[in-house]
Amino acid sequence: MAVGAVVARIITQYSDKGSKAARKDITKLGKGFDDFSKKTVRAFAVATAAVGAFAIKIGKDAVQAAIADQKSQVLLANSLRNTTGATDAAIASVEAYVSKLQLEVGVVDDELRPSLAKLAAVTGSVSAAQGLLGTALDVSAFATVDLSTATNAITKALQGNFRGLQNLVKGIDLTTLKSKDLVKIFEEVEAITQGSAAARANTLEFRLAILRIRYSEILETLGYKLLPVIEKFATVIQNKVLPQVEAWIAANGEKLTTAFSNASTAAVNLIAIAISFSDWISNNIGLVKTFAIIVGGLFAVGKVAAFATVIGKLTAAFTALRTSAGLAAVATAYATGGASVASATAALALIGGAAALTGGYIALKNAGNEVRAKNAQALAGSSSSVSERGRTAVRGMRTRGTTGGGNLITNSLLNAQNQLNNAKKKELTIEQKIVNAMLKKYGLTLMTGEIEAKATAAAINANLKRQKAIANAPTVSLAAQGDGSATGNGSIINSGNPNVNVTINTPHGTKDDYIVEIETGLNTLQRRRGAGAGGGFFRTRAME
Amino acid sequence: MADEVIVLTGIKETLDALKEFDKSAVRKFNKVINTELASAERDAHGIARGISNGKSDTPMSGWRPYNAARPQSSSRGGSGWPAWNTGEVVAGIRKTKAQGKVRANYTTSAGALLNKSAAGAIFEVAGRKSGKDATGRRQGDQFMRTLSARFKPASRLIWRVVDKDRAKIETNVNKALEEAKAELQKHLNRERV
Repeated sequence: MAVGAVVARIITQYSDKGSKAARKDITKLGKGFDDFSKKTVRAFAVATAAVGAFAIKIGKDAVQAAIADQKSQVLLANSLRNTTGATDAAIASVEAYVSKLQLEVGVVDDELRPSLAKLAAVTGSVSAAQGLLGTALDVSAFATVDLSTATNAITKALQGNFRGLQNLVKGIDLTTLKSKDLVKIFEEVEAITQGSAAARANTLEFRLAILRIRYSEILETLGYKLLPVIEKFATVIQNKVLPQVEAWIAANGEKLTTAFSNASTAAVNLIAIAISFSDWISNNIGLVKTFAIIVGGLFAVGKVAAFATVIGKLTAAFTALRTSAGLAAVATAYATGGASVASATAALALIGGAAALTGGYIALKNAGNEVRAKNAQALAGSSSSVSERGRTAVRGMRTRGTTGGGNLITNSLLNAQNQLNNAKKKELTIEQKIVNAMLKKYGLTLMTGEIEAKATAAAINANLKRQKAIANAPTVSLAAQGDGSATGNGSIINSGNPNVNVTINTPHGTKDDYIVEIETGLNTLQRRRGAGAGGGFFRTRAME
Repeated sequence: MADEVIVLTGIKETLDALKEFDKSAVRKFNKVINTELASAERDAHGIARGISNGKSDTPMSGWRPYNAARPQSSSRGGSGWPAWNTGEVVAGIRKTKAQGKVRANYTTSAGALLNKSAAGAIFEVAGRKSGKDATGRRQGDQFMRTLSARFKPASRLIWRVVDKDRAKIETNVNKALEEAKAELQKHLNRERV
């Protein structure tokens, strides 16, 4: 539609474009609301946590401020009582004065009170001390030093030492100072420094300080409200809880000591075992290597199974497998130390094979014995060896029984040993399963010694039977006679009707069987020699 | 301007579906819209061509029929004031079926008249806003008074036609749409059997 033109719409139609956009907007808006609500909730959660933390902080600060303020008040009151003999009413008026003054000059009451106490101690008068406190505040503002320094200078001046005051207030006339007239000197000091504290209080820094003071006053007020609660709590702790704890410790102190002692001993023993175990590995590295060979053997089994695809290769693979797995199993059985020779023999029986049962077995047994001897030698090392110490520690823990943590450690070690044994059994089972799977795949039977012996015996028997059968086989001798005359050499020259006499020794069949066989053979011969259809042999004598 | 309008629904969907069965029915519906819009356009063109101040074809004697050689910005013959060319104004009045922007009430145009020329637009809407200057006088007061006296208050060109004919056009188009829908329904029923 033209831009900038006056458009007069005549026909209006509904468009879902707008509604789609509206739905999108509504969805977006809803999402926005969701986000907003989530953020709001989160923000409120944060704010709540912050408020909680702030409240805790305020409470803590308030109590601390109240405690500090109370301490400061008590010290000032005590000082005033001792130095000026002030009454409680006078002390209360001083407190009110201090509270008011701190807000006027921006110096906290914790600084004002010690200064006032010092001045009161020197002058012996609360009113004089209050007057001099004003002078000290002006001096501190004039010389930009803290109130404590200014107060010290004034107190020293009151005692006849004007050097400090002279350093802080430079304009004091030397003649006046030399006169040591306190009235004149302080008149000059006041003339020079008057209004300094008030002027300083109007600066931004001190106005902020006044604000802080007001805030701390509020905190102190709150703290004073909280103090009774804290005091009550402290009283309960002191009177109720602590005696109970003390009583419990008195009753169980000995047990606690023993328990801690046992625990520490167990920890020391555990460290010794750990050290001895690492030492055992270094001393028996051969066994560790044997174990590694076993694991390697398991992988070898998998490889053989994967690549043996023909019988010849499979046979060779089985030979190698028997050797490697047999070595591994037997060596493991002997290397485990605690395992019996029977387990090694069982392993050999599992792997099977005549070679393993004969020379291989002996060789492997020797290898196992060698490993066991080395292990025994390592175990029977000198008493100073760490291994021995470790075993002693374990034995010690076992004998101690239920005392301390030794029993737990022993049980843990036994459990670990059992787990290792179970894992080993599982490995052997897996190995056996792999071998069985291979045998099943290729339709073979595992040749144990017994099976092999039976098979050999059966083979020999069969062979013998065959030989015997050959020896007892029937012999056939033929005697032919042409035209009724015997040739004697077995050949028939003339045609006619020769007769053949057949003699069979140790016959295994009937007479007809032999006749049929001979007739078939002669017919075959005749055909091969080119005889025609009528050239065959004909039986002249019927079979019986 | 008419306050109430008929909002037609399903024009595009009906025509798209009907196209599959009976293109002649679609053409029939389009012909109705085109005819109605063309009629309105003709009416608007007639109004534009009929504008005259008695001496020339411009709405007022001071409204130049050509751009000033040395225009003055302060006068209606100035550079910012478009010349009145009746042909140009007529050519600027067009019918359109472009949908344009979708309004906030989820409607769009299915047919409208455009007044594209600057002079035509001024003639169309001058005086619709009652803006006043600092002295309280309406800007161009005399111009608008004269214009309104001669050609009635805004709107004077295409909107006058639309206001006059919209009801008739809407009714006709709506009727055509209903017929198209009925035709489509007939085809759909036949398909179902």
